[in-house]
Amino acid sequence: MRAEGQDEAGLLARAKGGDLSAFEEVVRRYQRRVYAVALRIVRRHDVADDVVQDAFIRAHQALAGFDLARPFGPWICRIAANLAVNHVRSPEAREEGLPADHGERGALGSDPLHEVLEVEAREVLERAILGLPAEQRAVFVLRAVEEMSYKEIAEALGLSMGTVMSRLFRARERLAEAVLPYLGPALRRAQGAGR
Amino acid sequence: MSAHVRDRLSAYLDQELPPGERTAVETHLQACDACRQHLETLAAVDAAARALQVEAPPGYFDALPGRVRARLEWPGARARPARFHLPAWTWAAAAALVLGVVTPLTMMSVWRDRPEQLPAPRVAELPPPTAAASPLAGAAGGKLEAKERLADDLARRQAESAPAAAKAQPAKKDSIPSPRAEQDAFAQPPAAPAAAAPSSKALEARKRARDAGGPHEQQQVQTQAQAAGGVTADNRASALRADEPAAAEAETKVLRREPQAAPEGRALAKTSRDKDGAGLREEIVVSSDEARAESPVAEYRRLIVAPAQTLAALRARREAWRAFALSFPNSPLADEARVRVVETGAAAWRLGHDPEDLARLREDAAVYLERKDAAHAARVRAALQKVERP
Repeated sequence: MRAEGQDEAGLLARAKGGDLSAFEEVVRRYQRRVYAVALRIVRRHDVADDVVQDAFIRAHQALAGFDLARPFGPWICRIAANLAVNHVRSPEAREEGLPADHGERGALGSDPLHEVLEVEAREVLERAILGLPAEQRAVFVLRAVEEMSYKEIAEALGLSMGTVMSRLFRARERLAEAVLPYLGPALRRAQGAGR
Repeated sequence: MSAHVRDRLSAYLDQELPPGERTAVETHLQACDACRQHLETLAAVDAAARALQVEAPPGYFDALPGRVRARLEWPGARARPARFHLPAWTWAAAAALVLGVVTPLTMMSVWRDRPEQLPAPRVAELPPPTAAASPLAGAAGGKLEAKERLADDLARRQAESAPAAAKAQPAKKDSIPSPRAEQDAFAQPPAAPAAAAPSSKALEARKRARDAGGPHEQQQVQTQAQAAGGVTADNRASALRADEPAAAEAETKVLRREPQAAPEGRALAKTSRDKDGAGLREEIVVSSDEARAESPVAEYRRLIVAPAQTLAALRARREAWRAFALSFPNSPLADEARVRVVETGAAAWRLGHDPEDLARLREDAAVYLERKDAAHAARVRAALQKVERP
């Protein structure tokens, strides 16, 4: 029986019982999401790769205590986010510059947003996200992209709810300011097209 | 627009406001176009951020599950180093520091008290190993004796200052492993010749680097030998020559050849010279003796955990990955290490744009892509492609 056909709880149960093939399949299913979280926070592929691997290793080590009734995705993303934030808090990361051609920026995909945002606007947004202070960026990614609750973010990053709220507010204000010149016309066109 | 409401729009958007505040914001929004537009902007930013996709290098997601599994399958994968546990390479670095700085300083004071100043014994300067039968034996006897004493002194100091290294190769002539035995310890699988040995190009590049380094480089080689083996080539040759001329001659030949043959039997990784003008920079020495002291997983984790951000650190990391692949060619992680040699090299090139880094990157990538067991050729091609066509 191929692992792809199995439900998540079954896979996790097998992985919990020591079946590495099952866990490998779990990694396969969640790797893109976890990688996206890590890369958006640490900004470099090589570091994101380390974070992703460590996140899955830690998750495997903690599987024994994992409640199979809970969704695995938010849990593994929290682990990855925590590791990523630990990295960006490190002195080495503070000195880290973003190479001009670092090449690991998020690629622009085809999606409904094409109708709302123009290519330039998305690039501006992308740069603005990458330009956020690391801890604001982490909070924003976990909320806006991973749609975690403030409580989950606070637990994942070891912050108070108030800190989460204020960082998110500041991050969004900066991003909105950056994309507003592009967003306004695009929104108007989208609204016009919708009429 | 009321700032009081605006600074709550973010939490309102997330439905994280208490009911009372939420009602207040909703009431305000009904009467304030600016706040409504701002709320729309915030929502659009979130939606746009969600829609942005990240893209990893080609083949990355094909390989990742297997790489994670490899780490889990390896017995030491769960064992993180203790918080303050010093990895073996730190002992090697400490030994190199002691031998490279402290010992010369100490020896200077020792030599000042000697009636005759003697040059440091070097393989290239030693006479042919037939001193005992030579008519010059008597004339050279004093210097030879002094060199032997120096060798003994160095060996004793190394034994005291670098017990781990000395343990790996005790400074006794009768316990010096034969070159064959040394190679056996690093026996490479016949099925993976490219994994076992670096390319001839790579060896040539290292030789060029050594040649370019001149005396400084030679000193490094000596220091590495000390750190790795606990006794230098010179010492071993000197110690042997005293009573076993024939054996000493053979050993000297081997030792003279050793730097060129080092990657086969001994993995050495050290940073190239810093071109940033930072002046003196500590050489990082990773020898397979240290690497053998820990499991591949422990070494792998050591390399993978600490981020390398500067040009010098990236170069050092590239060479450390190279040493890993040479030291653990049979490990499931060796392929990843080879890929990392290329990727780290690419990062070094992007950061410093040093043509030497680019040349080495191309060479490393070519060597990897020639391998029949290259499991991550796509990643290497992608790294190369980014450099060639940024």
